[in-house]
Amino acid sequence: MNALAAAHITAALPPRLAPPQSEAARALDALVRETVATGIARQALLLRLSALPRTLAQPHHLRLAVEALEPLLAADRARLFVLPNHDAAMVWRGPAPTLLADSLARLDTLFSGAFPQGDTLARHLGLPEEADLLLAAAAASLRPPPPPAPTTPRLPLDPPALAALEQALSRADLSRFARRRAVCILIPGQGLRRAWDSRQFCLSELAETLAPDRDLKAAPWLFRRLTRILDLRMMALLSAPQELGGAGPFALPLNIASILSPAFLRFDAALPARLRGQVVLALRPEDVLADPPAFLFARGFAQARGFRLLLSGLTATIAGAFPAEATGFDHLQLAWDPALAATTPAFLGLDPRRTVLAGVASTAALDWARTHAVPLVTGPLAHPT
Amino acid sequence: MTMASTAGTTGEPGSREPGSHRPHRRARAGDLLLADALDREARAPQGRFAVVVRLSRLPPPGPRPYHRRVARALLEDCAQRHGGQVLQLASGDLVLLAHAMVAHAMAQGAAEPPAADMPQALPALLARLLHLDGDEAGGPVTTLVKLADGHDQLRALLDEPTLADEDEEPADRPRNPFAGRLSPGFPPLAPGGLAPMPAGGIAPLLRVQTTARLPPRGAPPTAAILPVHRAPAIEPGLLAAHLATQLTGGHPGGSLPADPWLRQHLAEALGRSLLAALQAAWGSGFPLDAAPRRGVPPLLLRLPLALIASPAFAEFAALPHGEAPPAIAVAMAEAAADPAAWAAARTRLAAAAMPLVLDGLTHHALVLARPEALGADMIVLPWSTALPRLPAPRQNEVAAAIARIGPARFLMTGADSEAALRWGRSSGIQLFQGTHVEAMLAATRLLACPGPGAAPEVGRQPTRLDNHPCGLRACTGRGTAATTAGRAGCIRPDLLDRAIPPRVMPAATMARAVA
Repeated sequence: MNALAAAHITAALPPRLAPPQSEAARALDALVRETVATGIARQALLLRLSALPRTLAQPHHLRLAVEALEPLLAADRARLFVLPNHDAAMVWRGPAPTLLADSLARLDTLFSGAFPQGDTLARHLGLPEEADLLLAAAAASLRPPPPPAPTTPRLPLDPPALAALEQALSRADLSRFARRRAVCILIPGQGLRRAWDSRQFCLSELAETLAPDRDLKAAPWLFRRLTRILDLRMMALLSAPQELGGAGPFALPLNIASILSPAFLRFDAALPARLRGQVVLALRPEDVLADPPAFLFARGFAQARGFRLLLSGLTATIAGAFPAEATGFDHLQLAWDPALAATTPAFLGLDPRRTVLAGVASTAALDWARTHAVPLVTGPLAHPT
Repeated sequence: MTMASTAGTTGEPGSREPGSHRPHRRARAGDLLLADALDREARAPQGRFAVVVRLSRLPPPGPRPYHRRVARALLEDCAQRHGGQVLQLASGDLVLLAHAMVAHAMAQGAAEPPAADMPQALPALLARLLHLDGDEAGGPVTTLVKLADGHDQLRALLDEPTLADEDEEPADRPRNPFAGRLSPGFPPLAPGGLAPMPAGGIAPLLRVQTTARLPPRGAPPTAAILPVHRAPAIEPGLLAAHLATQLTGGHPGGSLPADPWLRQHLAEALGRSLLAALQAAWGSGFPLDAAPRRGVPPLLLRLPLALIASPAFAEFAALPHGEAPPAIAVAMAEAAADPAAWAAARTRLAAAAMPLVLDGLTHHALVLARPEALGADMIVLPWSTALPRLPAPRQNEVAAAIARIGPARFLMTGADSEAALRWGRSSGIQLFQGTHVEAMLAATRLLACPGPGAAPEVGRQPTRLDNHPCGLRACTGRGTAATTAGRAGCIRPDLLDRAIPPRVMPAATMARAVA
């Protein structure tokens, strides 16, 4: 962004309303999530100034656009967020039709005709129903502009490249790629609480760093093989002294072969006593099918050592093929799909109490979990409050 | 309390033999310590106990490395908590020597069930993990023995044969835990997958098996066996031999990758080659000709799921397959890994009227999963000699799964013996593939065939089966050949593809022929 433009916008607003812009995006994100978790209704006006034609995106245009929102600052608990990509959002509570109309009229005067029909500069949103749109805007504003398209297409992963990558992964310091993703429990009337953290490597960053010329997902089976070494590295990372000192419950995606490896025995030995029974091992259905006797052995061993087991990667198409009572999993993780709205966990053969709904990025997904008493959710919209 | 130690993992021969009557046996520290403990217990009883884990007694295919590793970890954990010592004997068996103090606690707490990590709970835990039913041939795998009472039994452990070195885990782990782990799993694959292909494409690596519908039990002995598919599939032995010829330095040769994911990757490359070979052979009359021919059963093709979405498959599906288009088999693991691709493939195949077959399950998976929920038309169950030997509860689970899904939807592959057919038919299965089926089909062909040198007249009374100049083995080989060269010498190649045997063979003759 043009630093001068940023300075202009910031200068036009009282200091308390204009935090540094990346902070503004995070603050907006937090406010929207709080709205989703508590269910308290708010309204928002989202200004997509980043979509303005270049001729209308001059610094003074941007400043005037943000100033056009000023009437809404008089609304109850109004907060203005100016995002890093020039987009702006005003969030307030309660009805404010006159103030809203005033702001919209000013914007219309400024930018009338700048947008093609059907595409609007300003969008009036109701929270928490349309929270995902605001969250997406906040996230998009933090993203760096897309890099220029690579001049040569990336090659698919192949066996020699896989061998080289495995060698590299066995030596590289992977701790900076380790991520935690919250899995939350929905408590009626209280919002979302952290149930556990899923600990895994950020594969896109890892691939970008270690194999920028390769498309890992183009050879899915070789990629599956690659996850073995990532398992070993993650277990080694977690077995390090102090690593789990203050850790809460967590989940670990693992291959079955990894559970039966010496690295898992070391990890198991290093696990603090207070975490015994608090760790979830996430397995994949194709891995269960690849070697059922090994799965049965690993299942018995892991459960005897106090680990809980989760089967991930289920969708409506295959959920019925892996019933919990036959497979012995403690949790079954179902990926959200808008088509799920027309069905129920029971119809899919799932026990809602054991189900984890993944990929929760919309209020529709969260509503489905609430409606069908699915307590565990994970995804961009599932943040502990 | 940390009184645990593990002995006998160094793999070094002991400095002295624990018993002079075993000069041939390579003793290890574990053997020496057990012998010593037994001697001391005999001199001055301390009430010590032993948990014995005899993995060598596991039913076939026997212990896998992780069985040993996990069993040892559980014993060591128990030793660490309650005091004790884990010994690994030269035979590969494991012994936890529990201290007298623990033994005392065991005696006192006998009325109550032992805590899960107590030594006396270990035999049951291990039996559960190993899915043992207590009726293993050769005696129990896990036992709890009092040293004083089980002196002879424990002493006998020292006479067990030494475990072959290749079954052992490396004694010392390499400093880099990943060293030596990478290259052995890799087959000599070129970047594109399997390359270069043998001269003549993929066909020399294939065998064309026949799915046969056998008459149900109780059918009249003259009921015919009916070929329903021709199934060209990679013959693992031929592929392994081909890979061996492609070796480059550093790759161990002659075997397929053990890693299931590398095998899947290889299968994808082979699937693409198979499809190309079928398109090239269309209308040629060669063994891989998929064009509809009167009386010739349709193909059953095992293809990678990803390929079904490809333009190459769309081209193949658009060929005029007639009334009986090929059936397509997909591995269940692939469906589970990519449910969206599976759903799309199901729709695409239904539109092309191609039956969808679910492959890659074992009897274990049949009990664990509900494959029928995936909506396939047919399910492949590979024969295993373990099937008739399963303990009664497992037998019942497998039988219940087959009954639930419907035996008519099953195709048993790998039926290489009368026992396989007997087990399958007693379960209600009617469709079979395997060497036994091929031999049965060859026998019907020989009966219909006058043999080389005679005029090939259809309807002529054939010579007696055992007098046919070709012989059953040669006819079986030609019947499964995927190349015309593999059929060389046959004067009735039309019979090799023919769906309906021209003459029904009495069951007794058939049994004698393939015995």
